[in-house]
Amino acid sequence: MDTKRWQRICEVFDAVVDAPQDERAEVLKCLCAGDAELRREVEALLAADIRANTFEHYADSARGGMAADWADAADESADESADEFAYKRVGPWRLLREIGRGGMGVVYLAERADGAFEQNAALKLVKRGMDSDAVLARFLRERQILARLQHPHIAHLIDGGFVADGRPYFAMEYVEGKPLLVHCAALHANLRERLELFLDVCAAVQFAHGQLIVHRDIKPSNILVTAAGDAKLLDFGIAKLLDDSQGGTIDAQQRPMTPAFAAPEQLRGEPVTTATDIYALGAVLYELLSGARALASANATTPEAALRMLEAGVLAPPSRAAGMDAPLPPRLLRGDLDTIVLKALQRDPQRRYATAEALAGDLRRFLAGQPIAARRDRAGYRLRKFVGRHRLGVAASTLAVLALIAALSFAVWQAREKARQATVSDRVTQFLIGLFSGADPEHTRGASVTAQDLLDAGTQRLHADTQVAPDVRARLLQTVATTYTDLGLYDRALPLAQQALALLRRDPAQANADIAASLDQIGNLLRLKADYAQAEPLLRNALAMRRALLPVDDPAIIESLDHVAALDSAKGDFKGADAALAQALAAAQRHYGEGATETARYIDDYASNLDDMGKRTEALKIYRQALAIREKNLGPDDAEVATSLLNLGSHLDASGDYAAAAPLLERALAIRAKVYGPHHPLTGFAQLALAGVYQDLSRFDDEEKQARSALAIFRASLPPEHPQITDALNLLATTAMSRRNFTDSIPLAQEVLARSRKALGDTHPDTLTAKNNLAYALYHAGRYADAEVLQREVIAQVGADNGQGVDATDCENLANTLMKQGKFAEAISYEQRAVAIQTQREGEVSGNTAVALVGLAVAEELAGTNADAERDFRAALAVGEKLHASHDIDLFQWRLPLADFLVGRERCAEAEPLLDAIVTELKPREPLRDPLALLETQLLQGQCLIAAKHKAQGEVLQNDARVQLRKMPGIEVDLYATTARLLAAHGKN
Amino acid sequence: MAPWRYAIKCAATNADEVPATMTRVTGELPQDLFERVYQELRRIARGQRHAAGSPVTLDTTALVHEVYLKLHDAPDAKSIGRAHFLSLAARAMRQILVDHARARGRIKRGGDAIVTGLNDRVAGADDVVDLVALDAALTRLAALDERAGQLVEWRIFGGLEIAEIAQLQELTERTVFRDWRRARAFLVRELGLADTQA
Repeated sequence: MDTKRWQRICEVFDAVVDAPQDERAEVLKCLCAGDAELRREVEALLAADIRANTFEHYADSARGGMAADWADAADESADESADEFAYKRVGPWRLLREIGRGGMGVVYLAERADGAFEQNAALKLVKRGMDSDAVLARFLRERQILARLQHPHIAHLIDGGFVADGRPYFAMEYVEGKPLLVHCAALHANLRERLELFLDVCAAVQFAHGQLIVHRDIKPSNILVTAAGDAKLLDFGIAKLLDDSQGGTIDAQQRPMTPAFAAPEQLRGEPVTTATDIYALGAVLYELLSGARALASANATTPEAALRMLEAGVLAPPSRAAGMDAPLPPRLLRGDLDTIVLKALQRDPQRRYATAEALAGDLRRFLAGQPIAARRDRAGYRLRKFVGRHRLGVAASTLAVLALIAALSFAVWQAREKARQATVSDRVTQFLIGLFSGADPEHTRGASVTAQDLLDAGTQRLHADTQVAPDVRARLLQTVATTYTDLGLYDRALPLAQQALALLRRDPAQANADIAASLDQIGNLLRLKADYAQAEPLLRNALAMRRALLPVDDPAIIESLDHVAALDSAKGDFKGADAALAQALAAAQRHYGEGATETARYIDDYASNLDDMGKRTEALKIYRQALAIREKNLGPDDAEVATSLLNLGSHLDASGDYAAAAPLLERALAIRAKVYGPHHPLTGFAQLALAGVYQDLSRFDDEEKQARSALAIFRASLPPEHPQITDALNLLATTAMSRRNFTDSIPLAQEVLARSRKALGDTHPDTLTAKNNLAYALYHAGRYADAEVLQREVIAQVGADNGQGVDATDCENLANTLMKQGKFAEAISYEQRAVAIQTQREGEVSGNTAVALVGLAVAEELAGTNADAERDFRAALAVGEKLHASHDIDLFQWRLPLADFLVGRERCAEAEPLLDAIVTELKPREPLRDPLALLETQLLQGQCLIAAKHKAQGEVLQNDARVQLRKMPGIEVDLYATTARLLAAHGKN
Repeated sequence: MAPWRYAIKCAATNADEVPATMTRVTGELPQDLFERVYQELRRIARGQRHAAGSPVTLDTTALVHEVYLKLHDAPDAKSIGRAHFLSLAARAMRQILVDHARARGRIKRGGDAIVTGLNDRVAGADDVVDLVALDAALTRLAALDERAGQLVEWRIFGGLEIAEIAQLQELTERTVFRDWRRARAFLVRELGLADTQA
């Protein structure tokens, strides 16, 4: 390019940017006619122009940063230059000295000047010339955010205001301390000390996230440690309110972040969520433990470069990144800490820890020597709980009676609005009185039975009474149907609702809106009965009619939208549901107000659907909004607050954050027990949800207590086919399995299966889960033939249900059962199928493929095709080693099966290095998260000692392992071939 | 579409914005004055640093202006005029910072500077623009377009306002802004900052 060319480019560039936006392309085309190169040059410049503001901002700070560095590097001779700010007053503060300067303002050390009390603060004053409206708005928002953040590990806001010239300021807690890494280096802090400081930071972040505040720029230099040893997180100035009504991302210019600590989505300029902070926490932990940056900062100077690095490479686990001068010995990091850090640093936000507390929880478990949650599932059976949803109105018994009264009162009120319906209201009121005249608690056995009995009796009376006018009868039928629906008695409700519709249609004077309501009711009932094909036209028709007849944002339209969404969701069309729910929510916000209690219900439904769509982080945030609204409007002990707590707790439970879920559910339970009493089904639902969390926390005693209590309540108060009874039974069954009490678990699991089959059909995912669970128990109880039948059913049915085809795990499970019965050829074919499925889904180098390969090799070993078996054991180990180079995968799980095979072939010389490696890998991690592997290793090592003529020594080792293994009933089926034989061999001796 | 409309616009651009003569303010500072500017810049900068504990950035615009306040009465500076002086100080600042950045690159720092306090929001952004690369790109720009090269030097290293530059270059502010916009785009492209979306 020469000057002339540049001038030409400039001319075209100027002409294009001067042209109106929609004409630019045309101008460019016309001016560059016949000169494609010129056009490319100008286009490149135009593209650059879009980024130019950002560049200016970055160039500013690059210059300022370098100047600061230069000034520091310049030779030292303290220069007592007059501090122009000394003793300058800002509000009640006297500025002492400047302690920092950033893009937006200057920070001073200040002291209280009004003598009110002695206090120092870091005072942030917006720069003169920077007080544009946008900065001002941001500053004010910052001030509000900070005011909400009162936490021992967050530098908190003390005060804020405006100085005389109109610039805003705020004073923050002045933290006298050292940056995290400097502090740890100076103290030669050990692993525990480092982790404990980091846990403080996690607590601070968790707290801020609870307030819907994301930090966005967590990094070691933003964490100060005081002389007292408290970590304090600084600079929530760039935090963005999660519930910021402006929403959206802030523009590129306002992207203050540090590329080396920024999450991929942040580098891409995508919306920042709590998961972004989890990533940054992971990056801080990485450096805190290894002394190395997760992303070498020298190479990650721009967001683009950092992103390229992140997307190109695989992160080395911290234990491998630790260099010669690492602060801690790498062996301390190997295993669990590697796993924890890498989980926090997952590229996909969904795969990181769901919360800072979940991350902290794993670190605490690590410190306590307990198994961490981040570990991969061991292959084979996975016990699953059914996921519960908690909506208001899924009620029973007393609540149903209350709902009935409310519904009838509403009907009466509605009727009164229209004078011509005065008779309707009278009849309804009479019926209401008649219905409840027998409701005296003294004459009834229990509230719930009363409700159902009342309804049954009332319905009979209604049918018998021929004097009731059709419109009155229709309304009564609808009301009773609604109440049956709330009780979960859909079969009783449906004919009544249909009769109501027929009555309405017979009367030509009847308004269309009533017919729409009736269609909606029937459609919703059919939806609840899972008859989606019939439900759909009714629900959509009702919505269309209501839209045509009723004012915009009418509650009936909102209700219709909610029902349509529930249908879409039930059919698996979560996107469709999302659209409908967004409409419903927007309408509710307009009709009831954004902070209205009624709106909270739609917020909740919207969040549930987000959950279904896998947008867990967003769902969490929105559940919290609903909770906040309910707490604010209704106080802390209201029933609706309990519903919100249940939703939130169930969400956290499903996210694996059991520790956070437990207190929420405990609170929900306490509220419900208080509001509804201890024997109410709603109290039982809360108990059941809590029991599920206790199971996940391995608190089996607590789990059983809650689950049994819930089950007792349900059996006494709910219709016998109620799904929550199944859930409670399933929980008890799986807990028994977790305790290896297979004998007790079998009848429970059988009942669960029978109930699921009846309620949901043979191919429903929950039915298949129930089958798998029962098969697991049967298999461990040695009832292989029974297990086999179920497993074959699962494989035959599963593909039809989920559209994803047969799961490899199902094939592996069946293959195991077949092996136990000597059907090796078929077992091999199923294992081969599992390998093929996993290879196709996840590629050859994947953990699940390696798991499947081991399964195949085991089958081949038992079939006596040893060459094949050895090849596949080694292939699995090779995959494991490849994974180990880049992921958090343990090698022992691949070494052990090969070693087992080799010992079985009396090839101890080859097995021993593997066995030693397993011990080296597992020993430092005591107490063990996988005691089985070490015990198996012990048996094999003992065998090798015996083979090497150290009989006594070997037997001691083996007997010790045998004693411990025998404590686990059914364990023999979980062992590899040689170890299983060695365990059994003792019995014969 | 009517192509002539745009042809007319092009003509207008040319007539309006290419001045017949160009004021030259490219002279170097006398060596001793440069020395004094340098010393003074460093003294003021250090003073700010000490006063501030350890801020992450210095306000170089303020620095350059302070140097002027300090030195404008000196005999050899008096004749130069404010704007001219500032432009020369900006050049000194460019030399200082780019030299320092080069030196720092050679030393290869052992980890980022640890920054204390509430102020390091922009610390990460330091890394986004490499001053040495910027200097090279600026030199390329100046070879193509001397006026734009000056403008960028004053603006980026001296923090001079568009109005001050317009005065120096005896151009309208509008023209300076056009120059600035093009130059900025040129640099962004040269530095490879335009490749990805913000």
